Amino acid sequence: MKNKKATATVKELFRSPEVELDIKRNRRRRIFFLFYMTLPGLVVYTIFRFIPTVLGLVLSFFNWRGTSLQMTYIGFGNYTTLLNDWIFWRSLGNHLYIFLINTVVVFTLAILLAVLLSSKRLWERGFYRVLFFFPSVVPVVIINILWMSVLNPNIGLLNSVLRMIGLEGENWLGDRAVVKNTIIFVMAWTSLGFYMVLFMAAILNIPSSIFESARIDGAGSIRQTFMITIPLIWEHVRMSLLFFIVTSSGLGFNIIFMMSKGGPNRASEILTTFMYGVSFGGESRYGYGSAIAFSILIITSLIAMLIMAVTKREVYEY
Amino acid sequence: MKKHKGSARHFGLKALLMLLSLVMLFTTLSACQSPGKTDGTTGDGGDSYAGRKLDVLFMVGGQGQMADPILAKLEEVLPGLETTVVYDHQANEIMRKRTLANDPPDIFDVNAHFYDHYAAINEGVCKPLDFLYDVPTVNDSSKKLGDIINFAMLNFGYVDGKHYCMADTIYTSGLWYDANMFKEKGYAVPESWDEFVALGEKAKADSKYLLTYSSRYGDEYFYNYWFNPLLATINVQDYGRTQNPAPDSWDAPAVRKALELTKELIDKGYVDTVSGTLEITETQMEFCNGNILFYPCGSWLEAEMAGNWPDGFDLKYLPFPPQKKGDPSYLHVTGVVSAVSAKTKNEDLVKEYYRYMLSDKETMEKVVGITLNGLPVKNFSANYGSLLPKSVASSWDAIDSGQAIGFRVMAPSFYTSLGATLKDRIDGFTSGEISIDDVINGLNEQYEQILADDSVPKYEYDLSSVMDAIREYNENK
Repeated sequence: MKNKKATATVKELFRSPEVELDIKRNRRRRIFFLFYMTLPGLVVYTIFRFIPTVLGLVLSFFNWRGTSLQMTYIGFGNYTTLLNDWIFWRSLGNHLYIFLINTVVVFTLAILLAVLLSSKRLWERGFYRVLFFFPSVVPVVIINILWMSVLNPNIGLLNSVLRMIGLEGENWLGDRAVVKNTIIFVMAWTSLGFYMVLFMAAILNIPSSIFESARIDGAGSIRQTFMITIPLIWEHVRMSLLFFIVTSSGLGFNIIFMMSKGGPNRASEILTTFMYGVSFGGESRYGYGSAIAFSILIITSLIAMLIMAVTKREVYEY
Repeated sequence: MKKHKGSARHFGLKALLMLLSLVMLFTTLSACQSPGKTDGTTGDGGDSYAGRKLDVLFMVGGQGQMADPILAKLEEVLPGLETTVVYDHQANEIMRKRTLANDPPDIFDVNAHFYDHYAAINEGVCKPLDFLYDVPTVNDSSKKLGDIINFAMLNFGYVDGKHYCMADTIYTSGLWYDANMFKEKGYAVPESWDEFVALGEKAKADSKYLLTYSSRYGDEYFYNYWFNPLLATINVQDYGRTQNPAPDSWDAPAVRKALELTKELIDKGYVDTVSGTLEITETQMEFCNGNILFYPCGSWLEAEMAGNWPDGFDLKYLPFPPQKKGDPSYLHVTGVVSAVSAKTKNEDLVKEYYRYMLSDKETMEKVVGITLNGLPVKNFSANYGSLLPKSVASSWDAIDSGQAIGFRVMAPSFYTSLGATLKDRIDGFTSGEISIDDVINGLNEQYEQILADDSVPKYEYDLSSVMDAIREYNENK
């Protein structure tokens, strides 16, 4: 009874108009604070992302050479052209091939290396961490120049080594049969270390007691990896996948644009290099380029949603 | 009291964060200003040109910073004048943005490969150059610019009887070779197509290639410096036919023959098709290293590969071998061009700019010293040939002697979508992925699309100057 009375008194106290006013005032202050804090970011985002995206969408319905403000409205004309353009379909095929294989290669190797290099038994792990992470901090231009010299069919290091052991060298960036896989190799080499470090950070956060219990229960290293490590870092893997999908188009563009120019005969052309080519690369078809950009936005969003749906698992807390 | 203190601190923190956000926003917006180097100097003031400003935009390219001596001269002779020149790799993008912002430079020289000059002309961005023709020359006031300009060199940007673009520097093109290697190996310089092909076997025996051309940039290097000169030596009328869109433009027999002759060289192993797939400097390094006898390129080659030529490399120009000994040779004459903004408020200053560029001996010598290539003035070779590198001078000699007839390939400039198709087809043809028929049909289809597109203005390619040159050649023969 005494307790009930005390509770009622506290409730009454909290319901008093002064307190409620104070709560409301604080809430309003908090909302204002959050609003003002997000405002600069929102302004920057609106100016540099949202408005250009909307303008890009509008532009995709016009024929525009980019030299003045003279534009011709052509409705869905650019999209119709796009669907009948063999280069678009070849670029899309290359795009999906490169990013699918690259994702599998990068994530498999990054998880594997993260598991290996998180092991305290490997005393030289620090060296390997630096070695694998190194390409992530090197500017893409340097990476491209480096690999272009290694892959040069006449004087490159790779073919020289192959010839030394009696193998025939390849035209790594000029032969349509191998160019895509060469690009995938360079892309994977560039981004592997970054994801390895992300996964290592996640693995090192898992309490060691979980692994010790598993060891006591007789689980070996491989079983621990598949039954404990991967399920517990799965949310990190999912988020990294999303980040990878969003950013790898840009990385793919940088590497392909410098190393193969999308050739030979469009064998390594992806949607981003195709878009650049038709708008900034000499054709000056900015409306058509915008239509390609929108197709990239739709395709990337669909892939991201698909991956998020497919990889959804129960989240384990530890 | 405590609450009050907390609020003050809170407010202070908020103010600080707001300030930082504003700084971030301001710096972000500031960074959006056009990049590039700005060389601006102001005169001593109080003069007739005080407060006047000539604004020039230039691409970074083979012509170097050629505007510098012209602008320096203008500042010297027009006291008080302020000149601004921006050299930028992305000059075409700067031009686009400045045009959209209604603030175009007075004169702009941007890469024709990335900027659609013909669209700019049609949309009224460029000013016709007629206003320059009556300007008296610097060294001889009895002459006017119209008297000394070599209009045959100004076919780029010629629309409806008016010139809209000035050639800032003119490049010749053709086959380049190392004369020393020819001497050492005992190779005879070919004077006809048959001799050229025969040399291929000798080169092969010496583990060298007769030729390489860039297929990665096939729409330029293969098409301009190899295919069209070859096509013209077979039938110059058929070359002209391919420059004008028609559903059967590429069905011309000479087109098929030119492709067949090229394929024959590839099949015989005379063409280094691997090096042609590389970046242009990598391809050119193979030539510098002496693995290839001939390289089709523009006359910027010597300057572009400076520092990479091995000792004793004697770069020489070979006019494209005609099908029959004694017939004329052909070459694509190209160049970088400048144009005048239609909205310029400094027409008088623009006149002075071109007046000094084209008729002041001292300025011209400085300009040619930078570009190492030609200017569009009559008797250029006779008056300024000594300033050119030996290899470039030899190409001008070939033109001046009438042995080589110059033309400018215009179709990819008229119709920008043609370039991509050309590149794809040449790339596929060189790698053996597609046949000669595929090349011809693909290019015909592209022309059909261009013809069907009403938004693309159609131009008539004029072959008359080439035909006149051939007539002259035959008369002198």
